[in-house]
Amino acid sequence: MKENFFRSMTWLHTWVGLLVCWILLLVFFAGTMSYYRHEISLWTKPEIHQAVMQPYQHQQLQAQINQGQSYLANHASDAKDWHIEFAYERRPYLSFGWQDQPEEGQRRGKFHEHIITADGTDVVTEVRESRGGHFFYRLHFDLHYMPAKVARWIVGFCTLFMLLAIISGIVIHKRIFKDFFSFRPGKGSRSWLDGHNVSSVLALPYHLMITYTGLITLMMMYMPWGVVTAFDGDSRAYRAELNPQRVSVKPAGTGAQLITLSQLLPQVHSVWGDTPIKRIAVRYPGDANSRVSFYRNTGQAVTDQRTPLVFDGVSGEMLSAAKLPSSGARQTHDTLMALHTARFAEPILRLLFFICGLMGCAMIATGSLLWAIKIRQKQQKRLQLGDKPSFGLRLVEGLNLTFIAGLPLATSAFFYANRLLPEVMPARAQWEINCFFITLALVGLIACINRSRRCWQLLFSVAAIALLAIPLLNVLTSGQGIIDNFVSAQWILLGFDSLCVLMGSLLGLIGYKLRAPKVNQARRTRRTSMPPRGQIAHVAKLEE
Amino acid sequence: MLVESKRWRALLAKPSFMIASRAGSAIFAGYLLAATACGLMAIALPMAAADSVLVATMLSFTVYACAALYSFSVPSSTRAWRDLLLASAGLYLLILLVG
Repeated sequence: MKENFFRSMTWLHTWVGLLVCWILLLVFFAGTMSYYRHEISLWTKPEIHQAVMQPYQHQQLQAQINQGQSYLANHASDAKDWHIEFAYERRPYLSFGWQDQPEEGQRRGKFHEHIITADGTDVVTEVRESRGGHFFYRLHFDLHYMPAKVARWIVGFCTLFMLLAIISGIVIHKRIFKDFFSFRPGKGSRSWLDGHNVSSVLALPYHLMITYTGLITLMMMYMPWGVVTAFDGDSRAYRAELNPQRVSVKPAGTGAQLITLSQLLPQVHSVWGDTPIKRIAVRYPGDANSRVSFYRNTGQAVTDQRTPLVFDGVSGEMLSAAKLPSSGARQTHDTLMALHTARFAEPILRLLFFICGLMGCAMIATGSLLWAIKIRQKQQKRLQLGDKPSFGLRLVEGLNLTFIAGLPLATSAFFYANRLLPEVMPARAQWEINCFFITLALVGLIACINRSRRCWQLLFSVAAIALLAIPLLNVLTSGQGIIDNFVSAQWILLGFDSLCVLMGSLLGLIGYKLRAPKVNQARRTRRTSMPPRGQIAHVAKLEE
Repeated sequence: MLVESKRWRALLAKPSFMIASRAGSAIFAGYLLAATACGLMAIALPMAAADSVLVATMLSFTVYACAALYSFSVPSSTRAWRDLLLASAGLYLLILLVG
């Protein structure tokens, strides 16, 4: 390729990075938001911000199960399945849900969820329709407005490119330890390179881990060839060997009395002891083939296996031991999955994951900005003669503005839409999502016209103000402000508000730093509007 | 005829074509290598079938990444294609042999 391996890798790093960086930024951003998936979902349902929050109560378990069973029998006797979801730290309320029988030609029926008040006397049934945190979760591998399968291939492709960019980035990084400690602000592209290095190197183990495990989560779709050779392509046989308990049953079609669910508790207790129960699922309630599954809260164990205890819904016979066959390969796979989903992370570790995710966003953003700045530098002579920048440069600068400044703005638009759209309207959840993408598209439109530093500053400032005002929005539309939440110890809502304020301040700070330089212009050469000066010897390598 | 072949040669020597060819070898030949390596490991590793499939699939992405890096590190894209395809063919033969 180039004269030597080092040069080839430098070239590769630049181009694989640049090609996919905007989709990657979207994926990384949405994935980072997904660390707070349940917290965001809670925030987007202000109807349940009062009177329903409760901790998990072991003594109440039996009463809650009985209440759930009779409630579901009264309201959803012909449902396809029932769910009783118990309160746990990230989802602090009790709910009874069910799925209607699917209509002709549909795989799934409509889902319902009714939430029980903390004193157990009342039920909240009218909750606004919103995807909440699940939107970001789905966005980070299913994208949107396209078939999930196509999206997953696109994301997988970009992830592999990311892996290549990271590996080649390590290869070309000769002074990895020294650069760890160097950040030289105010020196044009040198500073951007430093910023790119710091955000990449500081969280490097995280970046490698999240990229590789990201591929692992969907590996059977990307790489089905092991199943093809070892199981003759019979993925059902493969899954059955992997997990013998996952044999699904069909409804018998004949009615039978469902067992009293709480009678199963002693059997559950004998296997799991006092481990908190997370949910109970009943398939085909009232059918002779009904199945009852108990799921536990795996807490801080580094595992992603949510293996249930399964009972026959009529006789109450335990059909599965909760222990799966274990081996080194399985445990490795499970651990890699768990590292990606981070279900085990308690609040502080979760925050650390979140920060690492943001560093990943910073890594991608600074990388693409660095490219734009250096190309602009290259074209400086041309630009001084009054020529337009090349199409490639305009495209990259435009996409940078759209995604880097647009994503925080679009996210706040999503939160505002959640609270300001009429509570009942057709396709409400979809419209919240549309607001996200409309905002992104608007920023894209602005980027077609103006990509100046002022424009960056303006967009960052608007996003900052929008995020800083989230606590205000919350108190005005849910009737529960920061103080109420503090008094009633609703840490999740409080955490949401504080994180918004923190992110808003950060964006505000960036906006402030972007203000037009008055004195000492040479020192502050940022973003795209100013041709950067300063040392370029080191970075010149990357241009090839 | 001669003119035609010259034109072809000029096209093939263009940097943009070289890059496209190299990217093609990384993406397609690299995938082929990873897929055959995955298929072979799944039947050749001395473990229970489901376990070896897991290990094979988890490792295949490393194979893919290394193959892609190889594509971009060798002097010519023809060599990248040749080596990766030959290696895949070898692995495929082994699959036929083992399976």
